[in-house]
Amino acid sequence: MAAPEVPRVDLAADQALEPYDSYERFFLREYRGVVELAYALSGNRAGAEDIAQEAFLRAHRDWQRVGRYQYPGAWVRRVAANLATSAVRRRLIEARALARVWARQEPALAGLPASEADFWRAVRSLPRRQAQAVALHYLEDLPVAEIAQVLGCAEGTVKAHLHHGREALGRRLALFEEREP
Amino acid sequence: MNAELDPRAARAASALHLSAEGIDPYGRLHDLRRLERRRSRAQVVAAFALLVALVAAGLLARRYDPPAVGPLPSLATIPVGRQPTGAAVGHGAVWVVNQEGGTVSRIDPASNRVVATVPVANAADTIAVG
Repeated sequence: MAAPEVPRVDLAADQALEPYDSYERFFLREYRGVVELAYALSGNRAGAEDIAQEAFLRAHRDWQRVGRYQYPGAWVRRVAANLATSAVRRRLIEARALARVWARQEPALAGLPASEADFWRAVRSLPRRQAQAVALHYLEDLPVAEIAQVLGCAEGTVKAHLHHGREALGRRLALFEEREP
Repeated sequence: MNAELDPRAARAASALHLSAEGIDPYGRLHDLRRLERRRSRAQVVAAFALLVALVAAGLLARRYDPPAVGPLPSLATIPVGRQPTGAAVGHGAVWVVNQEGGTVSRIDPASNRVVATVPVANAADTIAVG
């Protein structure tokens, strides 16, 4: 692989740089978070990176517009969250991921311990919007206002999704635990 | 219930963060650019293929176009009456009606000659043979 074409930046010390001055910086800062979201919502290790890649490709295509948003990360998360929870689109992307797995490229994501995998499985069993809201809430610790921005809905709606989602999640996890010996 | 849920969610979230630590965003940015170049190349190839297909289809369509129908060549010129307006074929002859002359000419197709001229009433301009 050729040398990186962008200068290395200290990503940890880069928190204050928003809006992003370049697509590269945006990508480097947000990529992992978007992959994590895609993994949580799709449950597919091999496909998560492809979902993130697709979302970032779209962001790049529309960067003139997206780059001017106050929070471009919300836009790319929305695309990824919708790709990850839309069965048809997810399968298309996963088919590509599968082709890569056959070409013996291991996914860079590590597998999750069983108990944590159970948790995310329970999240995925929620209705679509609830799952998205709950994943953003727990995974990124986003405030309600930012979740609303990602999902493109009102804050009250997010609160309702979170409330119902967490309740259902609590019930389902208790059920999962009861089933374990 | 949520008192148990939140610590569990926090563990699940940190396990997910941990699992993504092996990802090198620099390498992925490089991959993304390569993918983008490949996609735009594929788009150019697809557009070119479409163009070639259209041109080929156009050429084929032209090749199979039936030849244009023009006026038939004249084989013989036969003088008949004045202002012939109609003709008909039957009973071994070609019949021509001459409107101004008020006659019908009978032409023998073997010799291409008028063999008879029959006067008709009024100024007929069409003719049929039955």
